Amino acid sequence: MRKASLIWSSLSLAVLLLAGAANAGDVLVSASDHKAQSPEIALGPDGSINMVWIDEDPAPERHDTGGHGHSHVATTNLYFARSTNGGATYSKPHRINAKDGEVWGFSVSKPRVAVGPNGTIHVFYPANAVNPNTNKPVAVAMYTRSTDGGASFEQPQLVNTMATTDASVVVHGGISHGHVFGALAVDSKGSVYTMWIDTRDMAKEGDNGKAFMAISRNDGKSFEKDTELFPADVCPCCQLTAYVDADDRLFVGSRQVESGYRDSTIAVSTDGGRTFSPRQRIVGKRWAIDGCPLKPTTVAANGDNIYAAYYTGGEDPQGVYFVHSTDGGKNYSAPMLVHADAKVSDAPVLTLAGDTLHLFWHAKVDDGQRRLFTRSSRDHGASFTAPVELPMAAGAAQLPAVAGRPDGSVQLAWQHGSEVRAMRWESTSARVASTQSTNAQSK
Amino acid sequence: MTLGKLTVVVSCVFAAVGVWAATPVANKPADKAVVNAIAAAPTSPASPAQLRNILEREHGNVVILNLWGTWCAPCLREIPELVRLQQELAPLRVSLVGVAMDEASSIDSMVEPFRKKYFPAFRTYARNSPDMDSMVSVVDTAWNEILPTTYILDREGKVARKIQGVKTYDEFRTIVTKIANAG
Repeated sequence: MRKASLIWSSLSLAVLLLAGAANAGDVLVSASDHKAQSPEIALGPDGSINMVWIDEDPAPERHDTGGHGHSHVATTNLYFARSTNGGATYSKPHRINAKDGEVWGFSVSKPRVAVGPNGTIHVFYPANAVNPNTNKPVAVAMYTRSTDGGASFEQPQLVNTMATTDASVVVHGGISHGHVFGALAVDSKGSVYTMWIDTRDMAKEGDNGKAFMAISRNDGKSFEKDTELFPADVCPCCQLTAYVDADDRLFVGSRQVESGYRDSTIAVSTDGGRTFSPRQRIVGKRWAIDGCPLKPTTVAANGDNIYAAYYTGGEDPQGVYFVHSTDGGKNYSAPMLVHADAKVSDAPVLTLAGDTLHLFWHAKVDDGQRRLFTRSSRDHGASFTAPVELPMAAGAAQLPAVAGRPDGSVQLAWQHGSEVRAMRWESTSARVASTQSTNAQSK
Repeated sequence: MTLGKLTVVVSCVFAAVGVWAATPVANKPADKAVVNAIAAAPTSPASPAQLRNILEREHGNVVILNLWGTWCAPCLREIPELVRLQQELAPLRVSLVGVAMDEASSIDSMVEPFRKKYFPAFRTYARNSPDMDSMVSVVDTAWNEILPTTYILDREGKVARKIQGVKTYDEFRTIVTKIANAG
């Protein structure tokens, strides 16, 4: 038995080493003397890798040059970098926002990037502004695009309608209103979907946010007036997510506040965002929490298969859970705990790459630092490989962002300490160690 | 007023004070207006190492360590109650230490004005760390970034209880009093 265990362990180790060898090492993307956080990533139809992130010049005199004085680092910018050689090297990062320090820098209200079918790079981010209706600070929803491969970005467009009230005593954080925690998606026709959590109708303590959406039908040249997407029961601090599948269905992940619970939901549009299905709660046990979870819901889909992952405190143990549907969302599986050995797991992201579903997240397995982990499925989420820690430089790694390629590989970006780093990842063809079925609730 | 009547009045006053002083701390109502008017020291930045030192200096006290943020509306509801509770339980050697998850660079522009306006008696620091997790790892390496989170530390500095989400004054009082009376 001991000999068999030794052989099995050696084989597993060999497979793990091969997995690492098949993947490129991590690459520093952000400037080494900057404080970079919360990257997002999108692949172009030409194979280019396009990244955005929140970036802060560490020189103290530059803090709060906007004079907005709100709770998050006021002087932050949005930076962009691109690779056209498969991630071996990246362009020198450059600032996207026109005015220095105008980006609302909150790490869990990530900027977003997407690339359209014609190569247009779309970027969506929260920015500091002053509401002309009230002369009060606000955080607004801004969109910009590049039609020259990221060399330059157009004058940004404000996509939210400004509120007519001052809800500073309700919204807090030094702003009178927020149009933030947004999501971005582009479909095959070039329609651009921006959506965010909106406080414009919050009037008293205890009120929750709404979700609003603004759509462009002309590749981001202009946007239609924003419309309400979800009513005033959206968890105000849990970032929205958006996913467009191969059939141009638009999925929106959010967290709904209802009767003291804050649970992950999915809504879908099959008509270009004109109408949506009712939000469907996808969790097992509900999470009763009167607080700010700061937790998004990641979604991916392919035909009748819909996949989601989310953090919940409603299950025991708390952590990241995965669910899937094989009937187009009519029913969802029992939640599967993604990382049983973790002391704490969070920030899941899903992507489809070829015939493989990849799930990434950050976790701690001991008293050390956060590291990135992954597992994958080749049977539409029915079973997964065991969690694998990604090989990368030492230090705290968190907030992964991913984009899958048709060849099955994944491009990954993350926040590493105060840097943004990236790597290419390919899961091995062989299954590593044990697999875990998602058909029953597993722990 | 005659000397005799004055003597009676003064005696009654002293008797009342004596009864009040003899009343167990847990049974005395706390004056919300008074306790929140007692100004605490201004917000200071604290790195993880500094927070560790702050908490080590509190050994011997039961510490209510409250993690909050100026953007976190639920957090703001419970802070005045925690201030009131600490004032009530101070004779049991209970301390309250807040840590704002706002970055230290926003202390002057945001955190301190906010604290002075809404809860001037709240003793709080602002994190001076690359991220929230590295700050909270001083007491909890498995923190899940939910706010508010409150840790009740025993007199040796160990986490006796972890509370997430808003709780009522009475709920906090029950938890803290039990730990404080345990020694």
